[in-house]
Amino acid sequence: MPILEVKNLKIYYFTPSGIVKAVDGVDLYIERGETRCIVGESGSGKSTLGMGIAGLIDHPGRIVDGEVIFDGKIVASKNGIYTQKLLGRRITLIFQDPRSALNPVMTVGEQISETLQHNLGLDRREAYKIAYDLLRKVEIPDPERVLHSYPHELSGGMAQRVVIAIALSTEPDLIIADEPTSALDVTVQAEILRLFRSLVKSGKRSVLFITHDLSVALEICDTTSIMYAGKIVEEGLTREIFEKPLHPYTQALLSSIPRIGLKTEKLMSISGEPPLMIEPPKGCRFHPRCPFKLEICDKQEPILINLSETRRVACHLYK
Amino acid sequence: MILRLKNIGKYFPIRGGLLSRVVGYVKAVDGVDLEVEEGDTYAIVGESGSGKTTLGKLSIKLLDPTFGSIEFMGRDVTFAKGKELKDLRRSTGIVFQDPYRSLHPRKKIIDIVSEPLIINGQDPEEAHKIAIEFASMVGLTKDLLYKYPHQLSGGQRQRAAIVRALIYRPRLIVLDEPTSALDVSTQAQILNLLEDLKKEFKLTYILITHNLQIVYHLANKVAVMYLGKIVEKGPVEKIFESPRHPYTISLLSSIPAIDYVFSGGKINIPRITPTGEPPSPTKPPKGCRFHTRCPFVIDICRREEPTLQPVEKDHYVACHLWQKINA
Repeated sequence: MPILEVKNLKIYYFTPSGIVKAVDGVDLYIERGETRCIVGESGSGKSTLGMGIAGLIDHPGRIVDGEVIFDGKIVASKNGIYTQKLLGRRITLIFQDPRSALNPVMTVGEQISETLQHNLGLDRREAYKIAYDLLRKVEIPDPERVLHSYPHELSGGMAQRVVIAIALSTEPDLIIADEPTSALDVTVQAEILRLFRSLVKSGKRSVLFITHDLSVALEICDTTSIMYAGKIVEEGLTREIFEKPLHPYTQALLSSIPRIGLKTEKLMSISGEPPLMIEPPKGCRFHPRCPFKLEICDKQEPILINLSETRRVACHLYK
Repeated sequence: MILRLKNIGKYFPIRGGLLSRVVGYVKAVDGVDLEVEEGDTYAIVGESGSGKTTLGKLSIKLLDPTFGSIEFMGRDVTFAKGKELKDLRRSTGIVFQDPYRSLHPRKKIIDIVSEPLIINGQDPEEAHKIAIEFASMVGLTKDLLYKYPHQLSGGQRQRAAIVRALIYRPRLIVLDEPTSALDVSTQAQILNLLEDLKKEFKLTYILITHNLQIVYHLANKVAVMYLGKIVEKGPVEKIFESPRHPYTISLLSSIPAIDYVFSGGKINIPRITPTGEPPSPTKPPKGCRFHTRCPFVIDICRREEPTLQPVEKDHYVACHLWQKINA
């Protein structure tokens, strides 16, 4: 049984200017120990999907259809959200900006030990001891000093290590990480990705890793789902997607990144802009920008079809 | 030679205490030499706090240097004032990272982009006409010009910012992280556009970025900055194929593996991960500024600051050990 099942999830934001269909019918399965990336550009709905799975959608957003099933139980649907008891324990979150995730007026030691005391029922002394070990595990060179530091005294990379330490502290079943390295410098980013990968792999945890960066997906994830305009358009093993992207959007995305060692006159680019989700295009949502558009594409919406055990694509070119 | 910076520096004072006395300096740029030829796309790379943006602003005198000199098209403009400064302003332009913050939120795009012309006495109607002409060249339709910045997408806003920088037909444009606020698909459009405009208007670019893929794609020369100093500079191919400075190597090895998959084995960088994080530019380490993170550090690195040495023609490196390091 997969640790996480998302079935036909729809999350809409009811704004004064219209209904924004941020996530519009997403199916997703994550097995135990699997690291899955959601790759998409801004406005694709990837962060809303992550927040929806955690049950953290706020007004004016709402789950209007579908369900999130965690470890066999429905934890979020339009009828209610039941993730409160899981969050911080069995499901933990890591966000882009580590400083906004940490409490500015508590020392790092207080924050980690509070999590441990609250969630694992430890006393203060034990909690501090485990906090110290956790900071060593995330390769912080001087845990003693960091335990007594406030978040503003730490660099971005150090603060993100602390957040990762907290996210791992309760040995969760699922970690949702939303662009955890995008705010960091490149050399620091490489280091944090390496650390994250090794910690996750050794712990057999499931991860939902949300990123806009395809190369990060290749570094981190076993499987990848590509999102466009509120829908998953392609998924498969990350390697497969890189070696042979099937959906025209994925193909264009991959070839629009400049490559080192490959001097080209022109980068391939996708014409136009992503659609506004208040009124997404009819039929396939990518059709106004697609170079291979068929007659059917603006009439009928393609569904995700299985091409192999791991590979799925939603495109009329594949029948 | 269009631009020559000689031993240039910029210190920002840090004030503190009751009387706001100067208690220290952020040495954002600390003694840099840079020569930009006409037609170059000269990339300046570095991480946050390396001083790359300050250097970009110094090079077109948007900031006054603390020391050193700026020569633009053969003339010393370090202390340019009045007409001389005005001429310099007309010959240079800048495009910032976040077009949302660099465009006036309550003005229509057409007024924003034609403003530089109107300020300089151009008839507004004429200026608008020119703006429309330029806008069509960068792929902005006329109806978009009559909107406000928040009504445009990120890519469209950046196109508007490019029009504003371009409208004087300057010789040199500083591009400060021109695409890092954009999505990849939009990024490719803007990079292609910049390439086309460069040919069309015979421009010279100074490209400030942390993104090495973009450097490789767009630039012909590159300078690598670390804590206010250039640690290595030279032709792009040389720096990417045989980097000498450990910091350059670590930057290159932090690029995700995928990007080397396509290089056909031509570029093969060993993986070096620097330890820790960049120190604060208020207190740069003594000796070589990279020594606190360098995996090859020896005694001399902690004592003596290395100077830029020629590796070969046009390729310079500031490292005590460069002869022993060959990636």
